Amino acid sequence: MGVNALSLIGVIGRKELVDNLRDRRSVFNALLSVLLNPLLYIILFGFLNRTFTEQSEQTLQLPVVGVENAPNLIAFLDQYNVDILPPPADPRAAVQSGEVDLVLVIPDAFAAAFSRGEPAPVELIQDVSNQGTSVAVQRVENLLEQYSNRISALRLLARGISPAVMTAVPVVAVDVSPAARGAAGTVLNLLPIIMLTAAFLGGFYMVVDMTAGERERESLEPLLINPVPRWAFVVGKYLTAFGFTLVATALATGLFLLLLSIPTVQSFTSIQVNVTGAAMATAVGVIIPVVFMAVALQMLIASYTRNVKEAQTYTQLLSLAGFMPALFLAILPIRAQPWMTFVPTVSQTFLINKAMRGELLPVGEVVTATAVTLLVGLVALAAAIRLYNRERIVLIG
Amino acid sequence: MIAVTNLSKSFGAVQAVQAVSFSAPNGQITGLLGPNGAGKSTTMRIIAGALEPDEGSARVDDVDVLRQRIEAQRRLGVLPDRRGIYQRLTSRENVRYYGRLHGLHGAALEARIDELMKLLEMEDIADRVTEGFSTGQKVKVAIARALVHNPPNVILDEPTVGLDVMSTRAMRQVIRRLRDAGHTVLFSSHIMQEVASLCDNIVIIAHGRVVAQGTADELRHRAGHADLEDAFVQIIGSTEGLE
Repeated sequence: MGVNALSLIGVIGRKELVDNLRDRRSVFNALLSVLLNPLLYIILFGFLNRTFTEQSEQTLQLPVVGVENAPNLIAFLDQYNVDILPPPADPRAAVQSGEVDLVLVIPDAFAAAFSRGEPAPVELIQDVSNQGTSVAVQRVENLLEQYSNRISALRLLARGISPAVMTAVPVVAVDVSPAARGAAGTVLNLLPIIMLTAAFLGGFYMVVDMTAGERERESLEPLLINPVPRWAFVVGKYLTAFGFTLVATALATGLFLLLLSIPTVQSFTSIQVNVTGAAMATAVGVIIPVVFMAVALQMLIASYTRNVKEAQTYTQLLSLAGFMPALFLAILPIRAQPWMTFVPTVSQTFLINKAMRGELLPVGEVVTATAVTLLVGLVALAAAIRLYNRERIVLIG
Repeated sequence: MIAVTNLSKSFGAVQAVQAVSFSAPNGQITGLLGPNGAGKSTTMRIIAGALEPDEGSARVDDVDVLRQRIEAQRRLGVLPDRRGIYQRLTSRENVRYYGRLHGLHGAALEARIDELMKLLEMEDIADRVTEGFSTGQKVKVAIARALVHNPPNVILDEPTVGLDVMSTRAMRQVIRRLRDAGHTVLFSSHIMQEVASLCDNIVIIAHGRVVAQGTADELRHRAGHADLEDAFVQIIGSTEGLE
């Protein structure tokens, strides 16, 4: 009797693997497009974070008009790592032109009002539209407020009143996030984007090559007239692309987390990330159904389209749709809603973020997300097999 | 033995094949002669199981292609009109892939591949990656993979198209050898001289219909011409699309 369908799938899958891996340039391009992301994100994010950190820690240069009007305030600022500079000739024009970031003006009336115990205003000349100065402005404002509070408290004490009367409703921030996060947490929000990009881009060239490409090179019809059920061709090709994409996704994930754990990278980016092997394995496990679905959808698209060019266009659009949600979720403060568990890629984004925070994943959510995603993949695969069973597959193009 | 009965197939408004019937008996070379676009390829693609007919049936060794496609395909070796090979694989790997799809493996498959490389005089290109092969070398790979399972029935769609003189002669030799080894050979051509010199049995096809069939003698007799090529022209009614 006939040849075992399983061994046929093996024959087909193996041939596709050998054939595609020999296309060194395409394999290289595929891996590059996937592995470049972790590098780029870390460099970009690292620079941002480093700049931010440096700005808030380095000595602040503050030009002051009327230093002699408030020696006490100047001494206070000096104590908090602020360098007092002589003011420019025209402070307003200097700030406007960007020559200096900001200028503190202490009016001549300051000393008199201050010693009378009356409000003694100072001016902070700033350009709100210049975002590069916002860190410095914030720092000076905080210091001035601190100084103001301190003086007020002393004045109350001098009158025999507890400074506590000034604070009717103190607010205490209670941070319940499982680990102290900050920059490390933000950078880990990029992981779902990296993983989804890899899932949707890792095998895309291979899928197009083995479907639309095979037809364009006119080797599809001779292949299909072999005594093999058509579904075996689809499944064999699919499994090879799925395996390759899975490896590419795991590599991208591993590379990202590995880079973040290197001490040199940590000191350069000022980001301390500590991801356990278990968390990483969980993230990869969560993404497997997405890879399954992504490759199946690509198979379907590339089998339906008329030629390689068309197939590439549409699979690339699919990729975009695939990792866009993760991008939005990383930037916008959107909370998980129950219905999101039913949306492939969105549900996985939340699950991966949870895994990275070291949380235990809720079993129900994992099962639902996985089942829905696999189902979409299976439907796409079945539709691709249907296409291969119709004669259109050898007529188009 | 290949038999088609009342085969019809249209693509949209174009009627490619209309009520075509003929048979290719065992141990004979049957030639499908007709101008380009006469419906030769469509007929062969239906027999090979790549296309489905609107009407009629095709049988290979009495197995219905439509009802038992895979059974029929086991008994067929096909060189289709579209004969792309895998450029990143060697000749041997191309042939081996098809052998495995037919369930062959191990030493028996390797021995068969060696045999074919010898028969088709392609031992020098056996282990070369096929990228950059000449048309003749590519056709050899495509024929070798079509014959890897030693099929009792062989379909060759315009096997000599694009070949140089030497390769054409070699190809005709291969066709004769297949016949002598007892294979049923059905091949198509728009070259009158080729069909006249090779075929035991000729089916003339024009505008999607069979216009005449028989041995060379029968066709000469029917047309009333001593020269076979004159007889072809008389039967088809024009030389357009023929050589």
